[in-house]
Amino acid sequence: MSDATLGSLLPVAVIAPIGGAILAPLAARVDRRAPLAISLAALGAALAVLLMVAPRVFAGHVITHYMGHVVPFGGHVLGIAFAADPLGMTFAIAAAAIGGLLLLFTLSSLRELGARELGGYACLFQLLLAALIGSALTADLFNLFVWFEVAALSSYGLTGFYLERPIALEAAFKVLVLTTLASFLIFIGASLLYAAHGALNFAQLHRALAHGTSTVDVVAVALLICGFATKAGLVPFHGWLADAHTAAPGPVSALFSALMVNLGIVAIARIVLQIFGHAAPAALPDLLLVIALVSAVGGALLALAQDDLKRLLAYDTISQMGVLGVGIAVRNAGGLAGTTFSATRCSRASSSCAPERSST
Amino acid sequence: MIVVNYLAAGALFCIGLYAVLSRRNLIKIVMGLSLMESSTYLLLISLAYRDRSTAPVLVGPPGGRSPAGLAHGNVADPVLQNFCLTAIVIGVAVTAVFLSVAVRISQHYRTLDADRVRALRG
Repeated sequence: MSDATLGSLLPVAVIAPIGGAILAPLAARVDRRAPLAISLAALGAALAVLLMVAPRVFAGHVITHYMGHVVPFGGHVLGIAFAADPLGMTFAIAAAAIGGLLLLFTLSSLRELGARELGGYACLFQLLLAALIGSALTADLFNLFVWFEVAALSSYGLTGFYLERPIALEAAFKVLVLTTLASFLIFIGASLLYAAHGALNFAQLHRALAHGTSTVDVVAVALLICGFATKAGLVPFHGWLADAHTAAPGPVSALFSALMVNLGIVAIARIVLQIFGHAAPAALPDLLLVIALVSAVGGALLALAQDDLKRLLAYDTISQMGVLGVGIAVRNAGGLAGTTFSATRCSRASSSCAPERSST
Repeated sequence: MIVVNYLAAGALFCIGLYAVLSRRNLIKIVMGLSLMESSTYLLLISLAYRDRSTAPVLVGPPGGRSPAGLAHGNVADPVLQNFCLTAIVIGVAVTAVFLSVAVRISQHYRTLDADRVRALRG
């Protein structure tokens, strides 16, 4: 198949789970098991599409698709674009595959739920996965914000899923406050970059920034890094992670630590490596390295102090994110390869902890 | 004039942040976050404005001006205004989730005081 045909398939990877999310609560009225069957089918379709595109992407081609065929005009990207590069592709495939497995696991762990709850659960779970796949594939800064916001909204629902448990309500409120603040920072950062350079596309921003950075760019990158570090759960911004994990159902907390926080790291990688590259302010890599190392060591030390298994795993996740951050902060191909490798490895490890998570 | 807007946005953001950090009533925390949100709207709209620019509406131009002339002339940046609309929609959804969680908390604990909710923990 040609690159254009493969590219036009890319949106299916996001549309299939969103469609599934709409159908799941409706199907729950027919049969208790139907929502999960629909979810598995939708995620299977997304994964199949991603795997069809993957060989071409890993062969070194970047597959792009412009929604509604609004193609770039005079070097300016006007519409919404998806671009599959090896980094994003790896995370999209990981999201679809691990998400599917966790949904399958839900069948056994949340067996006691009623039809309505299962429908809602399947809906939120698929919306979250669609947003994660979207944020891995998107090619512009504003859509990155939008996908993160969709992921955040569905994660609030999933954190507070056990509404009868008081701790879930409290955790949901805390997560809401902290991640909403992070969203403001990302939003202001993205708009400052746009106002300064008139571009949102990663490649276009990179070209605009190659001539040097001004004070506005430094402020914008600081806001963006703070925002995405909160989403990734790096140490000064990690307050929400442990509570969200404790309150959420087992498979959901596995999803948070296996995929959602990883995407925060991917977003940081996109900003540091793809948008700024060599034009980055001199202090940026050092600062990121400090944050990452503090997370790696601090998360591990805090994990030692926990007596609740789910909290322990949450702090372990923070420590893992720190390790991933180091790979980005060194800013070379080896570091990024290490980050990608250990991200997929720790996604698998976190999701295989799901049985323990749900038993606590 | 536009400097006043930036200052107002900054002041609103700070007032909102102060409310979030200092108030213990959950509803007041939500109000603080809404204030911060509206400060970002103000900032975006001000960023979109250029000196003496017109609204970016190219259909049915005012007397004596053509759509093409307007497009090449001085119009405010529609992309930033579009951001602002998107942010308002997202903000409404987030506020709805916030308030529903606050309602559930008040039903459960019979209070909206964040300190007392925390005290009941564990």
